[in-house]
Amino acid sequence: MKKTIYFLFAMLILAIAACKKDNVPDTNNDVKPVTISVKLSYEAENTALALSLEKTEVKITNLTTTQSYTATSNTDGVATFTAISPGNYDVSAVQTIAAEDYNTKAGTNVTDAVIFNGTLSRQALTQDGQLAVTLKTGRIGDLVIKQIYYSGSSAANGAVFRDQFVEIYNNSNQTLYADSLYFGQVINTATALNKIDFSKGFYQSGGQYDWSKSIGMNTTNANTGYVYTSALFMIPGTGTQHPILPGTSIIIAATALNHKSPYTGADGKAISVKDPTLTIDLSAADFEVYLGDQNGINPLASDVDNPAVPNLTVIDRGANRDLVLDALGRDGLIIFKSKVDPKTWGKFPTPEVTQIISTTKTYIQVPVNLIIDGVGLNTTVVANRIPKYMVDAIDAGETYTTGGSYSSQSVVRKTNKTVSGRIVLKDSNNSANDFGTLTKSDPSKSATSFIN
Amino acid sequence: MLTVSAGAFAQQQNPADTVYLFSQNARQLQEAQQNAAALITTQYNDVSTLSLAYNLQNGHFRTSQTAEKGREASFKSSGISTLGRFKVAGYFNFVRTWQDSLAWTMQGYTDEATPYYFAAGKAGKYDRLNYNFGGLVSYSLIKDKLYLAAGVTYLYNTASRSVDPRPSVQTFQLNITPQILYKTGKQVFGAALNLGYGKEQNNVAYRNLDYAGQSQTYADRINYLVIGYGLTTPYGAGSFRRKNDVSGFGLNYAYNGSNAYLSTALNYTHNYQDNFISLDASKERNRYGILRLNNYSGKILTGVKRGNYHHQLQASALWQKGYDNNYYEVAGLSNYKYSHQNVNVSYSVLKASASAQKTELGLNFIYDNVSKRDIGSSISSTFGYVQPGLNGTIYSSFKNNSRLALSLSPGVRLPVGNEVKVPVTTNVFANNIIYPDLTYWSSTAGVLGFNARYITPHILKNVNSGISFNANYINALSLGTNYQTGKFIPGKQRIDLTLSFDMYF
Repeated sequence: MKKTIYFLFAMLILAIAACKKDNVPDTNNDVKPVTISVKLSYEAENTALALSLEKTEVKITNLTTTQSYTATSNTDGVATFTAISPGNYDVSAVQTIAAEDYNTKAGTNVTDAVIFNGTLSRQALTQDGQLAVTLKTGRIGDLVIKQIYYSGSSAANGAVFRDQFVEIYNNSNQTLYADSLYFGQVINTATALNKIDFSKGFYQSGGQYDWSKSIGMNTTNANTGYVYTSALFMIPGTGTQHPILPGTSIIIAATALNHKSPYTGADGKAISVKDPTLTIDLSAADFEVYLGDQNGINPLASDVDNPAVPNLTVIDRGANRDLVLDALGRDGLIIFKSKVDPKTWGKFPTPEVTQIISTTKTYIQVPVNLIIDGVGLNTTVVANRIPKYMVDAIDAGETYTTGGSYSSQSVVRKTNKTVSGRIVLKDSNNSANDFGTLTKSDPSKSATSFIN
Repeated sequence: MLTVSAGAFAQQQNPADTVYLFSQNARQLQEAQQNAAALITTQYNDVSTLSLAYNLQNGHFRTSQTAEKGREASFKSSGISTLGRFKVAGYFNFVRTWQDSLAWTMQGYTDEATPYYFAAGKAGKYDRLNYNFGGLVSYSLIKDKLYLAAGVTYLYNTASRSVDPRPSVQTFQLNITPQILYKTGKQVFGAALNLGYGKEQNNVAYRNLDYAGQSQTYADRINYLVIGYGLTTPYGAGSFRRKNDVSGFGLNYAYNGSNAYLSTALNYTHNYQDNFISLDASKERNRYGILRLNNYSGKILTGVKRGNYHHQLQASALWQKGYDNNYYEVAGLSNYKYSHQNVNVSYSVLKASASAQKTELGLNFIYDNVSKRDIGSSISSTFGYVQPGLNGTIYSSFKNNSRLALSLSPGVRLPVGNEVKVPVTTNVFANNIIYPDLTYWSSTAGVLGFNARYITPHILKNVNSGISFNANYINALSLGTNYQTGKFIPGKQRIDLTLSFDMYF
């Protein structure tokens, strides 16, 4: 009997020893609704103007469920959200200052309301707390990017990425000229945010490249004062060769052909689509990007020169074999003018490069203060979202098609108002608010290419 | 171990056919293969079986995450062998599965508890391979006093399909159970540690780039990452990995007398399931979520012989309680709760007369209840049922030494405590999984099982072999609550048929 008791005692000790503590600290705290307050402020250069923070519209959007909440700020510039589901959220704030009020305080003579935007990306709101959002105003361009057809059309039955284009619109009441207008693609982190290893040290807190860490970086505001282009082109002209009348636009096509019909590729083989309704006719485009004659290029068979359509001047084609916008939306586009040749500007590698060799890719550094308009894109699928591509001063938000890649959809700037028959597009420097999705991209420049 | 067990003793006289023919004996054998104390006390020293089987399943009366049709081809072997101071029980199973019309789960090895997996509405065909083998070895350290034992189970499972989105899942799990046992008289007491380690790789790819865009135009091709019970996010092509650590302990006991026997086991295991992805170009990882699952189980098998009547009672109980730490969405807070209770009791009495025909009658009862809750989405469900049933078996012996057993098991499945709470009408998970499952579990169903086993020495020389046929049929006598929110609504009936060729050594 004693032996049995000793044996049972030994078994009990063994059983207790078998209990293994988890290595992860016990975080068995249940999810609870949270209260978040958003404290607004203006950026330093506008603080002295004593502009009102009251009634700023603040929106937070849950990235997983897409549920959004809105609130307006009080006189102290605080917007409060109570009992929201915890999760990951994007935060955006928009304050509109009437032109008269702004002119009084800033001593300016603007005719339209001045819009200030502030954003915070992917904030983990899991407990009560406060967020700080800085309101900034960007340059409201006369020329704006109106339509970006980046998604392409069906990979099986359409033109894939061959039919991509960008539409640039004159949003002013003056005739503007496209001559010497630079058009570029911006480079930034294209890795999904949830797959970024921040411990590597060359990312900013939001996941964007920390360009201050690039080899040879010689500017102090490498991340906020500049963007870096993966490809850069320029519309040729002597200065007044390519007018854009008020309320009209130009189309820059990757390949200015009718993609609905078969054509012969650069390799002599026929290129066609199974379903022409999925793609578009770009033969009437104003400009196209043709890289087939570039030194050292391995030409893309589908990049065929349309002699009737002027080609953009290639400043830096990057690694491209044609103008190819990322069909997933991991891209950003800019337009600007410069009296200085961008080829003389600094070129830097991405910050993860530790040694520059002959094949190291470098990117032209473009000053933000020259950019007339820029739009940041992102992926449709939330789980694959990349860090915000564009600095806030260029685009406080980002946009994407609802249908995703190869959907034939494009993003289009919304109509703000119509003045004497001229459509004025929405331009609050925040593409999340300014853009919507067109179910089928439309290069016609007609009424069907606008959305409300 | 198993192959040696099956082949080396093929020439010996042994009552293997008797063991596997009579249900009560088969349960005792099964207990000896799972409980080290029972292995030491069992009267079975050298028995084994090989089986080649083919299984068909078909029917619309199912849950939303069950295949409409399925076929299985399997090779199974198991047995017990005694080698000096060692007593060994082992098994090896290989199962090849083909499924059709399976939607809303892309799990490799079905895990009812986990809230982390891929799912898509597109139904498709699945191919699965499953290898699992294991054994229990006991060693007499001090003869008739002290024993050491060790159990091991190994599982490798693959699953894939060839319609977008295309999953490819590989699952591995290894569990070991070192034990120490003490024998006194006809009783054996044992204590065990339960340790295990497993990994799983979940990949989803697309061949058609149109579907990969996750557009609502092709809504059924959207690949969702499920991260709760009602919390999902479109994910597209991608992957995540899983590590599964098991720890725990158990106690077991066995008694084997001349007219009575008893074996029992109590086990506690803790599953720590870590779900994560590898970071880009990095050895680091980003955690999606952890599932912590506590499992408490108990089992008892007892029997007594009173004259020609052999009574046997078998009962098992399982209680599972789990919760997650969701890092994907809520920084490690707990969002998902899971609990599962199951009680299974069966009683039979065999009239073991000297005649060529013996009868066995039995009663059985099952209670099952599963509750899941997603706090952030305010979604919860409870699905439960009780299933009382009867069992009758006739065992026949023929003059040519062949034997036949015919069993019939009618029962009825009655829903108990089924309810769901879903605050919104637009939740994809609720509309396509929770509501159809409510219809299924809240239905009243009639269940009928039929089993026939024929064993004869006349098919193969010097070896007892035979054919088994098993059929299970379930019919919804009244369909449960139906909100008709998704494409799938459970139908009326389902059938499961298995035909096997068996050899006994």
